This record gives sequence, C-alpha cells and structure tokens, in this order.
Amino acid sequence: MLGYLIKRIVIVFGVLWMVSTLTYFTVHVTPGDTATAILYSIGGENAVSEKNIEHVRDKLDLNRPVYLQYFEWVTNSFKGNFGTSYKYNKPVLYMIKLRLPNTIKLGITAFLISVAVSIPLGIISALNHNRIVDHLSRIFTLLTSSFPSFWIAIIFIIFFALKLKLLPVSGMDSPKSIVLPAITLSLGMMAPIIRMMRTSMLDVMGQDYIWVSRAKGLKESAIIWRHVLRNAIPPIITVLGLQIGHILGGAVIIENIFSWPGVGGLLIDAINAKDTPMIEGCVLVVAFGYTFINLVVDIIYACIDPRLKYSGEGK
Amino acid sequence: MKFRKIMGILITSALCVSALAGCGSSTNVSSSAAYSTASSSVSTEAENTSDEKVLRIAFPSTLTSADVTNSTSATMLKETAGVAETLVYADSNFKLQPMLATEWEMTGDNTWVFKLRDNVTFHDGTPFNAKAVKWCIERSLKENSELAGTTYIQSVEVIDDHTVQFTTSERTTDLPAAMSYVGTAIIAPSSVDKSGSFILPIGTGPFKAESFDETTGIFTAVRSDNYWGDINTSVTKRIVKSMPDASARSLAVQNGEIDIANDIPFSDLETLENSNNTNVSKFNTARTYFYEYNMKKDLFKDERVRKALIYAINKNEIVNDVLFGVGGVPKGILMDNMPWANTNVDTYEYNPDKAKELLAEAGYKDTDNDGYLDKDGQKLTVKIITFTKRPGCPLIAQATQGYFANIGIDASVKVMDWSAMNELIKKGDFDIALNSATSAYVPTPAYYLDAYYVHNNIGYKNDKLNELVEKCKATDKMDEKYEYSKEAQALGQEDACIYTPVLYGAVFAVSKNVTNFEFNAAAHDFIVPYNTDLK
Repeated sequence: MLGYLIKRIVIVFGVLWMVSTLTYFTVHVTPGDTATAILYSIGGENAVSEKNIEHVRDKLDLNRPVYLQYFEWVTNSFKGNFGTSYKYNKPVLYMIKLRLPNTIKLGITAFLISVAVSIPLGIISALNHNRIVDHLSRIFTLLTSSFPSFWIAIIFIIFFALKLKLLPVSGMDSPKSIVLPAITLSLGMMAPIIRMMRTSMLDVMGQDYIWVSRAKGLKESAIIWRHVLRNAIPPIITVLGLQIGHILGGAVIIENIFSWPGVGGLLIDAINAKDTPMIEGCVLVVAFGYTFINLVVDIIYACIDPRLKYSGEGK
Repeated sequence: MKFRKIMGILITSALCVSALAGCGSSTNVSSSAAYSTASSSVSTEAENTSDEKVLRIAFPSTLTSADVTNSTSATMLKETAGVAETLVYADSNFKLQPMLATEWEMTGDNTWVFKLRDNVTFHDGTPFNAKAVKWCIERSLKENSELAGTTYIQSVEVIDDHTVQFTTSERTTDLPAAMSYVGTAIIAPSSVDKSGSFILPIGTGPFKAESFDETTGIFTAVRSDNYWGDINTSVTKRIVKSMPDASARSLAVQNGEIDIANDIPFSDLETLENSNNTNVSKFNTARTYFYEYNMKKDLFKDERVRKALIYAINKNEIVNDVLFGVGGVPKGILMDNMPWANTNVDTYEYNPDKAKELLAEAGYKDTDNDGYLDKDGQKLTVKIITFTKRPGCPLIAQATQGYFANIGIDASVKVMDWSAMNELIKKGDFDIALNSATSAYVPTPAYYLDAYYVHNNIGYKNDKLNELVEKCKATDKMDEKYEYSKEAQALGQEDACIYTPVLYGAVFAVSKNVTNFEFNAAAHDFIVPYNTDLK
C-alpha cells in the first residue's frame, strides 16, 4: 500500500508540474502583450501608452526571455512563493487564501446535494427498471445533462429570485445566497452519477450470486443493502472523484454568474489581465484539488474493493 | 462494515448540508485581511430605517482593494463611494474647478504650485495639509504603474503647510487637469499602519470608510460629520458591491438588491424600462467609439475610399436601433459641450449614394455582377476587428458589416480581447479597427488628441496636425489651447483616417426610490454624485 501511495503522489506532482508548465507557456503564446493587458485591466484603454508599458515591463521584469521568467517562477514555487499578482499587487497565495474557502464551501455543498439526490435516484431507478419512475429519472438525467449551467442559472434566478422573491440574485451576503449557485452547480454533476448508479445496480442485480441469494430465501432488502449496493458502489466512487473536477471547472462559470467571490472569478480576472502568477496560482489550486481528490478516491476504492487488494493493485 | 460507514457518512453529510442550505444557515462573510473590520450584510429588502438611509450601488469591476494606489479602487473611492477626493475636478462643462486645492499656478517650465484648502480635515480628524499630499502622491507614484505616465509628476515638495509644489519630468501645462484623475485622490497617512501596511482609506469626502471586505469586494461608507463642503442628501450610508457581471447587476436591480447599477446589458433595457421598481437613465459620455483605418494598406491610401466608408454608415440608426438609444452621434469627434470640441467639421452624414459614387471614382465597380465591387480582378473585402469589453463594439461592427454590404463591400468582423486587438493593430494585421477611449481621462484637449491622432499605431501621420497638438500641449492659455485643438480636429476629420461615428453611452438602472441622480460626463462612467438621494 505504501509503495502504491508513493507512486501515486509522485504522479500527482508530475501532473501539477505539467499543468503549470503548459499553462505558463499557453498564457505567453496567447495574443496580446502582458504589460498592455495589465494596464488595460487596471485603467482601460487610456492607461495604455508606450511610457506606461515600458514602466510596467521594467517594474515586473517582463523584458527577460519567457524561459527565464518561467525558471524563476518554478524555483520560487518550490519555496512556496507563488509570486505577486501583476494586477492586484498582492501575493498570489494571499489572494487565493481569501477566495478558496468560498469555492470549497460552494463545491462541497454542490457535491453533497448532488450525491444526496443522484445516488437515491439511481437506486430507485434501478429497482424500478423500465417502470415509470425509471423513465422519469432518465428524462431528468437527460435534461440536467443537456442544459448548459449558465442557462439553468439564469432560469433559476428569474424564477426563484425575481418571480418568487425567495432567494437573492447574487453575492454572498446572506445564508440563502449559496442555494442557487450550489443547486445549479450540482445539477451538472447529477447525470453521470445517476446513470452510473443505475447501470451498476442493474449489472450487479443480474449476477448469479444475487439469484442464488434470492433462491436461498434472503429478504429482498437484505439482498439490496448487503450484496447489491456493496458491489455497485465502487464504480460510483470513481465517478464521484471525477465529478470533483467538474465542480472546480463549473465553479468558474457559476461563480461569475452569481457574483460568488471564489477562485473562479479571480481566475477570469487574471486571464483577462494576463496576470500570469495569478493564473498559475488558480490553475494549480484547481489541478491540485482534482488530482488530490482522485488520489483519495483511489485509496478509498482500494480499501472498499477487495478485488483490487487480491489482484495486488491496491498493495 | 467499511462500506456501511462510508455510506453513512456520505448520506448524513448530504442531508445535513441540504438542510442547512435549504433552511438558510449562517454563512460568515469574513476576510482574513487584517483590516476587514466587519462582514457586510446586504439583504434583499431595503435596509432603510427611519434614521438610516442606505444607498446600495453595484460596481462593475472586481474590487480586491480599497487603496487609492489601485486605479479601479481609486475610481470606486472617488466617484462611487464619495470617500476620497482629488485636488481638482472637472464640472459637467469640462471646466476645471477647485476641490481640495483652491488655486494653482505654473511657476517654471517643470514646476506647478498648488494652494490647498485650509479648512479640511481627514475623516479621522488629522489635518489635510501639504505634508499629507506629498506622502499620498509619492506613495501612489511608487505603487500605481500609470500615474507617472499620466501626470508626469516626478517629485513633490512642501512649500508651507498649505502649499505644495509638483516637479514634472517634462514641461506640461495640463497638470491641473491631470490632478482631477482618480489616481491622484488623496488619503491620509493614517490610512496605513506603522509598518506601512494599508488599513482603510481615510479620505476627505462626504462619506467615510467603514469597512471593506476583501473577499466579497463589499465596501461600506457612512456620512462624515466634518465634511468641508456642502452636500444635500439624506443618505447616511453607501454600500458599494463589486459585481463584474453585467447580467448579475441588471438582475440585482430588478430584484431590489441594488439601487444603482450601470453598464447593464442592452437586451435588458426594455424589461427594466417596463418595471415598476426601476428607471433607466441614458447619458452620453466623453468616451468614444472610433474607427481606425490601416493606413499601411493601399486601399486606405485613397481618401475617396476612406470617406466613402464613413458615408456608408448610418450613425443615427446605429444609436437608435443597434445601441437601443444608448449613446449619441457627435458633431465632430468629441462631445458637443466640450469647450475644445470643433462642431463645425464635416461629419460625413449617411449617404450611401455618395459612398458608391466615391468608390466608383476610386475605380471600384461590380464588373462580374456578383453584388460586390472589384478592382483589377480583386473583390473589395475588408476585415473589421473589434473587442468585447465595450458592449457597443461588436454591435456597431456587425451593423457596419451590413452597411458595407449595401454598397457592395464584403466585410468580415472579428471580435477579440482588447490587448489582442491592440497587438493586431501594431502588427498591421487588420483593415479597420473599431476602438474606444475616453476623451476626458484627463479633461484637457491635448491628452486625447495626442493619443487619438499623434501616437496612433495605424500609420497615420499629418505633420501639421502633430504640430498643432504640440502647440496645444505647450500653451498655458486656455483660449489658445481650444483654438489649436479645434484646428487639429478639422485637419484630422478632413483626412478621415480615424473617425468617431458614435459616442459611448452610459446606461444606469436606478431604483425608483433614488432621487437627484445626475450624471457628470466629465467624471468617470461609474459616478454616483454626492447629492444622490433616496425617497
């Protein structure tokens, strides 16, 4: 197990390095000069003059070759220094620390809502295979996966905020503020979980040992809880892990629509301003979240699926 | 057993969070910032009690600081919150007026002396004086990347308690105008702690900073008891909320969460106009939308082609139908009421027949009857580039594409980020660019003309015009400045290499509870004047 863990942790670091390198050079090859983008983002068109561009380049040392800037960034990152935001003139880590708890709060809420709805729905759907409940569940799945989240967000705002006046439109001012963004974000994750839960359940329910259990006269509830669910859950754990990635990516859009002060809004601002240190910081947070959660999922998977242990993969 | 435990934890957590979210558990909006003194709470209901009147304003950019060294925050503090002030301001006729300075004089080629008001104290009771101005401007020069390039200030000296001298890096007659720029807003030295870390902005305005939440970007300010000027409003508190998304601002006004929001989507105007709770106010601003031809291309070296393309565009139709009435058609290149605007120039009013005639004279005819003009076997095509940030840009460019098609020109439109567009312009990889800039960034004629005509990136050069702009910059007599400016505009308009079809409009969605809201085009588009009141 220890060897497996070390191997996975090395892979996590490798992924983070690749992501940060790709991001760094992608930012530099996208059209637009960095100093111009920074000045434009803080002062608009009029702030962009040759004099100011030179000033910014000198101040931020942008005249050096990109590879030198990159090496400096990598070296500092290993020391825990992710640099200072070009746009906000504040340490990147400080800005992320301010915003990350909000993204986590939104993400966890959305994730739990999604789990609370999807898993029971998947189970019910499988237990009522090809009956009306199953069909309704499939229609729900189709709808939630077909509508883009920004559209759902607007519809929710119009209905729950403007028409019913139940919830605020945006911000993080009242406890109710999290409801709409969390539900919107959770909807996008539900379809794969429901489908996987349903398929996995149906798959297990068709296995010989389930028929044998029934033939031996075990209660149906005992069969479902002890045998079907236990064997159907492992694939769901993997899907849940992957959905964390969806949360982090989806939060960028949802946070912007609902003016939720998370890392997503910071990332969009940073991209507009070509604020490389801030973009790197935000992307690393998202990438770390994604790889770390997947690592945890793999460990959980190894723990609950004895087949992995016996085949040696989880050792 | 493990499986049961995991399932148990998952289901219990899910139920707890769903219940918490549904019932409205307490979300604590707090910042780890040392100076985030309070978590602000803005309810969807009006917060106005008998002794407190709160004006809630949406700010259309991300706010991560409340320091004047950040231009965005300085705009919020000066124009929106009413906390910090500048030495000079421009009235709605673009005339400079005393604010924290009472008079100013150019004492040498590179020196200006400003006399400061002697009856002003900062919100914490510390005196507003020359020492405070020196400290603040020097700090802003160090921190704000655009300030030195905008004002040319090199150093600040204290002459006496209420007199300060600015030394500039080059001769400038426009320093008083530059001292109205938001980046020169003054805050007290007590705004920072002993180690120099910023705490809260302590200004001189009619509202004093109460709190700023770095995480949510919510800034609150309450009425100051010791404001030096006269204001007439019953508002006791202003809450400024950072809301970068235009739709979110519009929806927040519709839902009664915000009293004033600007730059709302054009598509929402009808809904807002028909709403029982909101009014829509449209104003012309000093910002312009302008077209630039790529003068390195042979096509635009022909004056007839340049002018034909302007004649082809129906400017009034663009304002009324494409921009939903947000904006205006100038009589030249600037707002008509700017004292230095030349309104007696040819504006090339919409005339598609004249456009066709000029193109025919230039040799462009439809020889192959495909509906498009051609010359020497080459179809007349133009690539228009524009950018996303200003809402009218993509719309105007698309309308122009249609007008060009009407006279037989095959136009394409490419919309991108501004810095990407700027790079294409510098590279010369475009035919026509639709750009935007504000003509009152520094309210004086020379700044805008210098950027608009002289330091263009399109390859346009007119020595006589450049000379006039230099003279306009050099003279310290306002009448002469205006005259040189008008002459330069006449020449530029005649050359027709850069032209302004439409003025940028500011559109505000304002709650019907708000009264006395008057726009000042000389200020920033985000201005909420001090006297704005609530019923």
